[in-house]
Amino acid sequence: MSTTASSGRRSAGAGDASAGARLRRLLALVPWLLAHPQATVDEICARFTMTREQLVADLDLLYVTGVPPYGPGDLMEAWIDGDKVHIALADYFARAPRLTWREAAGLYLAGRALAALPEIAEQGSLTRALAKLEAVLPADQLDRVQELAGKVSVDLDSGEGEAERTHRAALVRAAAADRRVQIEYWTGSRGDLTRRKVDPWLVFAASGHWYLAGYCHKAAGERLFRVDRIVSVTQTGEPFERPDGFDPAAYAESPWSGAFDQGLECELDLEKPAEWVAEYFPLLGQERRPDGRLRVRLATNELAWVVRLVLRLAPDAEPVSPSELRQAVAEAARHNLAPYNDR
Amino acid sequence: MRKVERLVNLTALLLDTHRPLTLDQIAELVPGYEATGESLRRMFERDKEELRGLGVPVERAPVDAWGTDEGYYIDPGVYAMPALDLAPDEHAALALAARAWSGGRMADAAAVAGLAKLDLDPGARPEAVQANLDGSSPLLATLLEAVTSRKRIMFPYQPPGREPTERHLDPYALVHRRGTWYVTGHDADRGAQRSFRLSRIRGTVRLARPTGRGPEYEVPELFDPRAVLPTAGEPDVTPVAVVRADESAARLAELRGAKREGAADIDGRVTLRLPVGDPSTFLMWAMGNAVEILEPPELRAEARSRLGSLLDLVDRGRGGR
Repeated sequence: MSTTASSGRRSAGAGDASAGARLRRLLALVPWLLAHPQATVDEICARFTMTREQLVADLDLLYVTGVPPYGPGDLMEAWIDGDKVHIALADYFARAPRLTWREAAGLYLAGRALAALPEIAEQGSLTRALAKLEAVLPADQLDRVQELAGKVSVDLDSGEGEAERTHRAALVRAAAADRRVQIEYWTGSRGDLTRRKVDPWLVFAASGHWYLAGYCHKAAGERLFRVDRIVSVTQTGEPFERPDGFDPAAYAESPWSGAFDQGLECELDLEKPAEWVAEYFPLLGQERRPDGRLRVRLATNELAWVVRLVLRLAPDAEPVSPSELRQAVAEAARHNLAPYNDR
Repeated sequence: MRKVERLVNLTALLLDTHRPLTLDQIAELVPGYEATGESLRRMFERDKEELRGLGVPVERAPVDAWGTDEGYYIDPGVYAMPALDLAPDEHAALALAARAWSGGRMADAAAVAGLAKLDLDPGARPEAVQANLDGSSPLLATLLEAVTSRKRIMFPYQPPGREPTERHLDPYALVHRRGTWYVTGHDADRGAQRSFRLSRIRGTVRLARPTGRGPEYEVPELFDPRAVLPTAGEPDVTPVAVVRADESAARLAELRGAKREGAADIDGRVTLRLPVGDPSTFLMWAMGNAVEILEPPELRAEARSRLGSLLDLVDRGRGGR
């Protein structure tokens, strides 16, 4: 899965303390500190994904730099005063540098992809913001970014058709207005349809699907719902509040994370055509068997989910353990095969 | 004197100066340029390129009317990010786009700096909607560069169940579909157009001719990046299947274009007519949802054979058939 595969690379990048990366942060940090004199040290560190020690080191660095010949007023003043940062005399760094073409490109590409979603387009704010961004980009940069936009195609509207699009738009509207919804939801692993009231905290795209995260009143807890399995959405008009400390960023990575690290451990032997499973789901482990198949270990809270996976992969995945998985698969296969033999 | 201090001092000096400064003047004023002659020039050139790479425009101009000597400066008007004057809702919308590009967690230094330049606060009001394009992936950075400058690239590529092999590609476009990035272009080894999933690229993407200048190929005129990938999951007009499913699976199928035929049977199962689309996706859907395929006959036979093989496999093990 792309998110999992890249997280290792990304965290390696975060620790990048090269001179260029330090300078980039400093040039963005100084104007931000000047614009936010009331920001606390904790807020600054959170905002710039840095530790207090890194902030102290950056301020120390600013303190010893400045414009030669370092007369009074040519040096920068910067230090931590209580839980705030004191910074002064940094006129030449008072404004942030322009976006690099890559920063501009990322913002523009993501903005255009989001603006193509009907529920975002109808608000109009993103389209206006992108027009303002275009207006301030230097001409050569704008040319390059627009040329790139013709070569990068991002489709966030997953292709399950009009119904999913309509449901997603309804959920986004409800989430933006803090209004509870009632949904009919199809639980794949149990194969049944349930009706439940949900506080829609966030609608997000991950791993190729749209999800609704929220508080489910039926389950009396936080739940994730795949939007393409929602059969109907009804607005209730009832207001709700998100819990304190609700962190939308926590949903940006794979929605699977955490869901598979407990519960029943299952082993499957995969033939070549089924090996995509190892790429798609987080695994506890995998090894190549002497017979050439790939043995994967995964954990689940619901045996029925793995049974369904094996059926989908049939006959390229053999359930190895536990024995109740083998039995459940045999039972389901026999049950589903029966109507084929009846006529 | 550490390099980062030299770069900060150099930037401050060039921003603050009202006239272009020659290299000798710079070396005198900025601590750390202890070298002389050619090695000083090379050191300064590297610093200058590093600053330009960060978006700091170091410019060159004659220092006097005779133009015999050149100097360097940074124009604060060109350097500084102009104010966008965003209304609060526009501000929130642009922050959403920035977050979608870099992923929810601001782990990437460039993404953090980019957001700060526009003062787009990542932790503002929780948005109702969120996406993650994983744009801070270093692979993507190289590929964006290669696609715009039209450079041949090479990378080790490993499809599931195969050994990684080195591939050579003239990248035409990048495509993001259903949570996955693909690079598509002319595969020089196979002499045909191919698409590659970024998640299957092992290691890094390199330029085939790192020192080459200028574009290395043309993109065909009729090439359309939106049309390169199979639109998996989208309903096709033909062929049509007839299936029997239980009520809940039927309701879901109806959302994707299935039509009911007649009333439910006594066992509560419903007959549906629906487009097949991609046959392997259709079969997986049917197998995973206890859906019986009635028509077309070849898909019915396939489903029956798959279920039979699975049963043999579980009862007798591999090779027991």
